[in-house]
Amino acid sequence: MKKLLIFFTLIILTGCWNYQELNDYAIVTGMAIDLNKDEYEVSLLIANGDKSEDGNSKAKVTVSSGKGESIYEAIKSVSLATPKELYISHLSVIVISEDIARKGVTPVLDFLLREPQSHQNFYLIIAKDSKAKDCLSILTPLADYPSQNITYNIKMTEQLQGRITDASFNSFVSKILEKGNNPVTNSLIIIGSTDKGTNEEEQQNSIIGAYTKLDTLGLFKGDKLIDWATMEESIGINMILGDVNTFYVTIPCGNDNVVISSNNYEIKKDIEKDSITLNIQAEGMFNEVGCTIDLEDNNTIKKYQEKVEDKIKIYINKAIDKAKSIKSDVFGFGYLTYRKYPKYYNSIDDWDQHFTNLTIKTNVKFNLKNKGSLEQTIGELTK
Amino acid sequence: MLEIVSQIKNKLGNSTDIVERNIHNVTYIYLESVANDDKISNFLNKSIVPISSLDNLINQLQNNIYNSHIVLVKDINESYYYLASGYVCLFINNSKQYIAIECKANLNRSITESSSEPIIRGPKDSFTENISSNIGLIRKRIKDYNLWIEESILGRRSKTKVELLYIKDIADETKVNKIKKIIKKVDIDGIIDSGYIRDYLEHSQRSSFPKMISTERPDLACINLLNGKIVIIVENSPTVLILPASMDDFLKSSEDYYLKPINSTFSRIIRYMAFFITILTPALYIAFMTFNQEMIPDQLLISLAAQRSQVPFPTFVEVLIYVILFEILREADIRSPSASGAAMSIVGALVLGEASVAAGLVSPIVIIVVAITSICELVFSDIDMINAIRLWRMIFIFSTIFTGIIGIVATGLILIIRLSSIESLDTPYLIPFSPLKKYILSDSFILKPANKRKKRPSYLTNNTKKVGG
Repeated sequence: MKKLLIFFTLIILTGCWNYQELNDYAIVTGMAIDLNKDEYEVSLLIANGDKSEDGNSKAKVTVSSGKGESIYEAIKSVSLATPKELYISHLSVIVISEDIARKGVTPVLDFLLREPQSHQNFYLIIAKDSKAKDCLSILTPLADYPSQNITYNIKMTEQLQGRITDASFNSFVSKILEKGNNPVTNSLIIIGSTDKGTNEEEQQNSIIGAYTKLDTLGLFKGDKLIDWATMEESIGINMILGDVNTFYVTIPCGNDNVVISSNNYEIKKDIEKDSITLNIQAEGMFNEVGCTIDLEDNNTIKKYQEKVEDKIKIYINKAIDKAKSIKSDVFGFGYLTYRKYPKYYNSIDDWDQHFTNLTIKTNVKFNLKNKGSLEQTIGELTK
Repeated sequence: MLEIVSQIKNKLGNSTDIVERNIHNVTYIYLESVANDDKISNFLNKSIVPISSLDNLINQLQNNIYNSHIVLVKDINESYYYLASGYVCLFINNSKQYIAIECKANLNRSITESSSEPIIRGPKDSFTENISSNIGLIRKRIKDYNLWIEESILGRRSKTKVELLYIKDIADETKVNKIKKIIKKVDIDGIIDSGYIRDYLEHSQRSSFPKMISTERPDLACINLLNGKIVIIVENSPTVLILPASMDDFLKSSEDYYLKPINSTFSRIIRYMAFFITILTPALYIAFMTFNQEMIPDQLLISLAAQRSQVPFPTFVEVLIYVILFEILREADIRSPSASGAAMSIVGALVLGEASVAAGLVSPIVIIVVAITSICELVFSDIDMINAIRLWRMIFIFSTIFTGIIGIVATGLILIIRLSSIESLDTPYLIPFSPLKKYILSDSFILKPANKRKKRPSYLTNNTKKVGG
């Protein structure tokens, strides 16, 4: 009896530690931060509104905003207008406006790193040419809620095209902290009018009024956004970072184009003190042959292999030129040098300055293996 | 009337079922409720001739009656046992000795298919309340002279036969002796079912988990006998006890041995999974919903939140209501006559299921949780095992209400400690997992084909080598 009493006392004295009903939570899946004069405007995407009327469990989403001098204050002012406790463990995307990114993202980072609820595995994305809040508010019929749309978009595009980066908030932060490394991040643009995009009824149309689209990479120096890369530069950056799974190149041929895609990309970085060599190997196939060429001829294949190799070199050189022009080593060459030759790295005062004069050689080996389901071109067959 | 007969009748309180007859000097009495009138008139009456001495009568009867026990009894007090067992007692001339002849009426149901442990492939017969046919069902499967049967009569008033069966050269003698010792000490008014004996055999250890297999299936009893286990059959009980038992035994079915071993291995793995699912699911649900929401994937969490938004109760109340409701439904289903089964299924399926969701009493996911839990529970055929699972499920739920996933881990540890401290006849309960035995690879988690199972489990017998595979 005494034992039983002690047992129950123990249980009761622990209290309901960390006990929280799901009903009391407003599940925040996306956060947008804008700068409004000197004030932060934080918008939270709350994904569990009331059940929709037809009785299925698809939730209604709401975006609530609050203003404040600090991010914490702004979030608290959102919670004043919310009947539930804000729950940010399931944050999957955070959109920041371009002006905050240019000013420096450290204040945003600090809050998210310090907050014990946040799991730090979400995407950081920059709203290009629009308010961050708007990016988070655009509804789409293809996903249940906007943040899901953005994250899935990043995951799928990253796999299928080498244009964007899959790096999470965590790796973004660690790149800022690493020696000789600078982060890049994705950007998001809105196509169409924001008013239409936030309207639930607009979703019934087959041509939707507004949607968000992933754009090129933003290049950082430290925690500040310096410049936007072009599409070609973005592909080049990802190629050097080794983040490319699949990419395609378009090569002019007669009046039309030949499209060749690659699906087996590998890069090895050879770090030496005075120079860096990039050895790239890739395999690929013809996706589209718009002109008449003889695909059974080995010389043709060889010719196109060389053309692809040149194209890859162009991408890479463009990316390197861009990074050198803004004096920001977004490839992490400095970090790799530091790991291999720490003393040598420490003897350099300013790596980013040193980086602009760094010799970077590129060797590309491309192997065309497959012609797709069609062995020849139609033009060749009708000859 | 003979003095001895009136003495017996008095002792029995002149009960209405006593029949007394007098033929050619010989007086005989029997209880018509347990003795068979036909047998008595067919064999006994025809065999009795005018005779003056008891010895002659015995010879005479032994030469004429071929298919019954005939006993010469000297003690008058034994007559009550023989009479109640369906014997006819013959008296001559006030002699202190008398003859008891078995003329039992058939009070047994016939051998039927097992209703509590049905199988698809394999022998379908099951034990009945008749002890000699129960022994027969085992005897006809194992025709070895080493199959020994020892009888003791227990119960001060019920005088129930309790039979101990084991294979002499396989079973561990110390275990057999231990059981004999315990059985000797049994002092009880009556033994109505083998459950009474079980309580004596489990004596010192309190645990909700059963420490012996209870089965209706003679084939399962024989499989275990051949592995060196000991079987106890109790008169008037169709459930026999097999011991020692380990946790592993409750996750086996005799059918496993009749199907292809690789498929049986799969179903055993399924049963182990079901064990964990049925014990943990409600607790995990509560933990995820009220403490560790970060462990649920985004989309599921939002869908759950939307489902729960109209339910006014805390999650654990919701779960408790449903788990307890299901237990009641189950109990009602077992106890109620089958005629009301249809009404019950309507109430269970429609009212408790769909209507309560529509009314906003529970969220659909709780019904799914309880459904998964109860379906997995049905995998086990041993009712004691099911009850133990139910109890521990409740313990898990209550510890989770207070401490979330930490409570589940802590209770899980306690469960493992409890299980490994149980011993059934000096055999660890978690064997062959802890301590780890090679047996695990031949007939436990994994079942090898019969020609590869060359050894008996070493923790049950010293004679591990099987002859001829």
